[in-house]
Amino acid sequence: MSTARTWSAGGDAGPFDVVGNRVLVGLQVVDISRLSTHPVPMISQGLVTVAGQGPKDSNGAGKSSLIAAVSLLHADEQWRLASGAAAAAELLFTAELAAQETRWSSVDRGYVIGVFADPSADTVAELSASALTVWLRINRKASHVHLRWHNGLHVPYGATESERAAGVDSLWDALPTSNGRTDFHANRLASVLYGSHVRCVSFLSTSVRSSPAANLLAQPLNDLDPRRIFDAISTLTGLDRELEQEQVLRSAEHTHRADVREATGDLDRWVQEMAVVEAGITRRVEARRLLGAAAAAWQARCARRFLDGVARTDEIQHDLKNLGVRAAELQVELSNAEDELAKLNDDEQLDRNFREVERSWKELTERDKQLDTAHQVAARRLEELAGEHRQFSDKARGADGRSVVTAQTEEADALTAVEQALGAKGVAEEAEERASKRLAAAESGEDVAAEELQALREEDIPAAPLLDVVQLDPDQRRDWEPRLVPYRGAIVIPRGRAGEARTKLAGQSGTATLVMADPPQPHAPTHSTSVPASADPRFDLSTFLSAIVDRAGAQPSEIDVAAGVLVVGEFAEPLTGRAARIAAARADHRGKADLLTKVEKILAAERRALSRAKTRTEAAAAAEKADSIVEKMSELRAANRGRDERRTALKPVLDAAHKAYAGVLGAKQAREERIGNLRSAEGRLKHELSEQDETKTKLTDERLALDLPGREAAWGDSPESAHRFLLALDAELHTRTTAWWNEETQHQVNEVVRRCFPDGTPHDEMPAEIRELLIEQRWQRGGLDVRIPLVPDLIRALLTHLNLTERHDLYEQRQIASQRAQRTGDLEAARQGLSEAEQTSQAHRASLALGIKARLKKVSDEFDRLDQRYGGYGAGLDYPEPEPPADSDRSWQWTVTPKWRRAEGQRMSGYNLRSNTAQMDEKAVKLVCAAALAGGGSRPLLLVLDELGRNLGKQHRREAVALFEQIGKDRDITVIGALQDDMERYAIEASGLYVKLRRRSDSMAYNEAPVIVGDEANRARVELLRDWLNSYRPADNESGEDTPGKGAE
Amino acid sequence: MTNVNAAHPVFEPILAELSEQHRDEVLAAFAAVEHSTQPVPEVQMPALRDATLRRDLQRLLHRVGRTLVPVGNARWTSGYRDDVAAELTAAGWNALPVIDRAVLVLVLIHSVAIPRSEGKLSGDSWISARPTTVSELLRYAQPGRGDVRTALRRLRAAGLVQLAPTRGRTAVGESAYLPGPQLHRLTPVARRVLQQELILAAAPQSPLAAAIRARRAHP
Repeated sequence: MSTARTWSAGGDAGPFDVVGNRVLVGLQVVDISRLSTHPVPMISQGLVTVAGQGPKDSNGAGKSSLIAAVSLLHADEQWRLASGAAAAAELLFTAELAAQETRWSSVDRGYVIGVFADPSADTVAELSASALTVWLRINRKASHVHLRWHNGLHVPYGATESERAAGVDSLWDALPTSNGRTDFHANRLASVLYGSHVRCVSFLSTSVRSSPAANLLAQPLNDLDPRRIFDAISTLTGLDRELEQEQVLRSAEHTHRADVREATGDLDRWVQEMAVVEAGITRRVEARRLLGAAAAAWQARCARRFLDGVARTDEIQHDLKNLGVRAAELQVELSNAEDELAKLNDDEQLDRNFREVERSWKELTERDKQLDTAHQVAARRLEELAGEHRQFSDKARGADGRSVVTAQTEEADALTAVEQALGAKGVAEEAEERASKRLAAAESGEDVAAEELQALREEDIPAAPLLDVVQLDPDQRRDWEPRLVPYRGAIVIPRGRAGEARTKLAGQSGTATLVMADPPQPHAPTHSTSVPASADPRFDLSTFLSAIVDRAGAQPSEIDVAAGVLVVGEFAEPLTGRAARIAAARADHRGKADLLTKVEKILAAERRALSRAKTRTEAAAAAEKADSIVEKMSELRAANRGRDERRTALKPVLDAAHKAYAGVLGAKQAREERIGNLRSAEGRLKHELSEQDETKTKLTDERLALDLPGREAAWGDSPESAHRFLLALDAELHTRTTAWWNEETQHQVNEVVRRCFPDGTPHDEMPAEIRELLIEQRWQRGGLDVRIPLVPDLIRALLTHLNLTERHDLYEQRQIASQRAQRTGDLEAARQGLSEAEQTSQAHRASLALGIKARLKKVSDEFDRLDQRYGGYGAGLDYPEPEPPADSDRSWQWTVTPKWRRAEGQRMSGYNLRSNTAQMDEKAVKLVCAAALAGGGSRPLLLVLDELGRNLGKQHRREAVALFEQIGKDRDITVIGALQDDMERYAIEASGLYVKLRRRSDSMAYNEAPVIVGDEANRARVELLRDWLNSYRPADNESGEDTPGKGAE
Repeated sequence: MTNVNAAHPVFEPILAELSEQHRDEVLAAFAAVEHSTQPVPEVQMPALRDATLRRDLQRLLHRVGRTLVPVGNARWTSGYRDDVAAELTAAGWNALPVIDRAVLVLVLIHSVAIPRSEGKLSGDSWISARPTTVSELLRYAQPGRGDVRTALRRLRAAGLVQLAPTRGRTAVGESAYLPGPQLHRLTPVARRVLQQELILAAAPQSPLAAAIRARRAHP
């Protein structure tokens, strides 16, 4: 249909511009905000005011939602249709927003249903014939907008709200899907319904507006830049399609340009790469030439080397022959020396003689030594004996002239006398000891019954000797001492303790005499003259002494008359008391001591006699020994004299033997020296021979090392041919040596290598064979000696490599040539295409510029006219023609600057000067209208204005409303405006259709039926439409009758 | 109105210059090339078709380090800019484990490099219709079979390989793999580098390799 939208997606195939010239005649919504489902008739020209009657004032009645639904239905770009119009979901009835969440739930989908018809249809029949019902289903979830349509009337019906709402889903389902198996979505809305013609310019209140997108009405005019203003105008006037055409051409141009750029870059890169390849090929061609030269040099080298080898072999042969002769001579000399040596070594006689002389000499020497030794031993023995003789002679002097026998007899006598004296001394000592003991006992009082007293004292029995207790006066001694003699050993004890004492003493050896004493008298003892007193107060012996007195006779010696006992004696000392007894003991002891002293003196004299006798005996023995020693010494002296004589006799024999020995020793040494000389001569000869051998081996080795067969093989022919070959070379080459040729060859081969594999070529890029030779065998690093053996292999390997690459190189060169031609051709073609495209694009742009300027001129004129007619002082547009874009993918950006006079007769000033908001809005509306009018399109236009005149003062509002009314009537423009309460009185008189949405209470979920009133001119039509819309009932056969998409095109 | 639809501030300077419709188209194309697994045919997207809008789209992508990549037959996708890719690689970013890279290289060699060297595949794309069978992958694989299979799964999830549709050629029950659609995202420079690396690795002695080395030595 439109030539402009050539690139419209699927535009050729699918339905396009379904609505066409038809205008909206009725609107019905289901579950959109809180709007009721009543059909709303719509007029196609002039002003439609939408007012509200909410619970308190006009707010909350759903005015904005209604006009938003209208703008969506007219595919206003503000809904961001290309992105799916997600904001449309905001239009759906939401229980929370309606404060009805307890009774109602939010809906998932709602419907906006628009009935379009021919504006000129005035009857039901005409309306029905031209009617097109467009359904938009709005979903809460993506995809948000679905489009279906139906030729003819197809709207929800029913007597009540709920009836209409209940049937809506089945009605939707009854519609055929619009896009084959699916429905068209928001992104195709504009193109399918309106063929991308702009049918609606809107300002929507912020509550439903999706974005503050650039839009002449949606934003204050001076917020927009001139480019955006041009965009808006071009959209309204249809210029955008022309511009799109330009853009398409520019795109084509760009594509060509990109092609050219790509082809150029491609060619450059290719040329660069191929330069490397070609350089490689050139190098290899050069390498092939060099390799030929190298091979020739190598051949010459082999020939020269072969000839050299032959010459050298001959020399060696000659040398070897000479060496053989000399060796034979040396051999003869050597065998002579060896013979002589054998003879010398074989002289048995001399050896035997030497051994004989030596043995006899040694024997004689031995004998002489023995004699000498014996002589010395005898001399030493003589010295010892002389010493002994002196010793014994001295001792013999003590014998006093006695012989041994006499001396021994005297000694035995002396010994006997000593023994007798010893016996006497023993007897005297014993007697003295006994007397000494008795004296000690008497002095210590223990001489009378000492043991018994001791025992009794241990038992604490008081006891004492009787003679100590009795006290005798000198008068009484004569009578009493004899009487007390029998009781000399008696012990006094108290009478009371006699039993205990008897028991104690029962076990004792010996006898004890006990005398009972009376207990002590308390008064002083009555000293009678007859009875001795008691010396110890513990004992009273009156009873005992009285008894003894009674028994005694008249004579002192008659002590017991009755028993007839007499004591005869002289008592010089008092018997009783201790002093008497001590004196007696001391006298006895003194007598015994004197006797002992006398005996000891006798003993000492006897001992001295014995000692003298012993000494004499020893001296006599020594005299005898001295005599025997003298005898022995004279014997030894005689033996020594005999020996001396024998040595003197031996001396001449010994001297002769020594002389003979010295003679044979000299002969022996001379012979050994001779042998040594012969041996060294032999060694020298042998050494010389081995040297000869070595030289021979060396020469033979050299001959082998020359590897004549190898050299011959390398040359490959006879020596004569090699000679001829060399002669055939240039004269100056004749004299060149093998070394020179070697140098030449390796240099050339190396050149070839460098051309095939330039320095820095990674090793793994070489063929394996060459890599082995160059790297592993160290060609690259090695010197001449390393390189030369590698030359033939390397030449062969390089030849193989170059032969292999030759075909490839040829192929590649052909390829390069053909590719170059092709690529250059491609580039040329691309350039051709580009220049054509550039020309086309330029030509189109030139004509388009004229068209755009003409169109903008019309808009400017219209703007001026409208402005002057509705309260302005004149206005216009500035639209300089922009330069063509530098890059073909940059847009050709036009700008439009609106301007107007601020007062009568003033110069026009730009729109972006600060101005009052009302004026901006007014000019914006005028500009939109002017653009729509100048567009010359036959399409009706809808201006949607929420909060119409929101910034205007009283007079301005009046003018604005008049403007809309007038414009609407004059042209194919419908203005839908939502009004604030206070605008109502201006609006009612000016508007062609008045719609009042009503909701009495906040408790109501949905609105009540709206009040819809047309003005005088439209009243009949409004009624007609209302009836017609309400009259719809589906025919039985209707389903599937029409297929959308076919009828439209 | 909703933040869901609001573009990121980084895009604002570019988007602000565009009209409502063009902005939508550019954003739609942006989303398509960035998130579609396959390249987007330009007939579907006005912003891809038109050079001017494409320029804006390119600028949009440029700001996030991406670039438009043309794929033959008038299709487009997006990939990392070469400078950004180089920088990321230098910084050590590499999403793939070694084993995955190895397996991917095997698939590329079997499906692309070998057919191309045989002359059965032209152009410089790394997409191919010649499947690499799993047995081929496992035959010479040094890592364990389990590792290779896991790697294949990961690569497939990443879109770097895809399962080949079964045809008569492959044995029954044996799955085969093709290079995945993500390889479309390689820029021409990246594709060329990949190709050169493969040549250098496979035929270092070839004149082609010599040319590549010479080019790299003297850029």
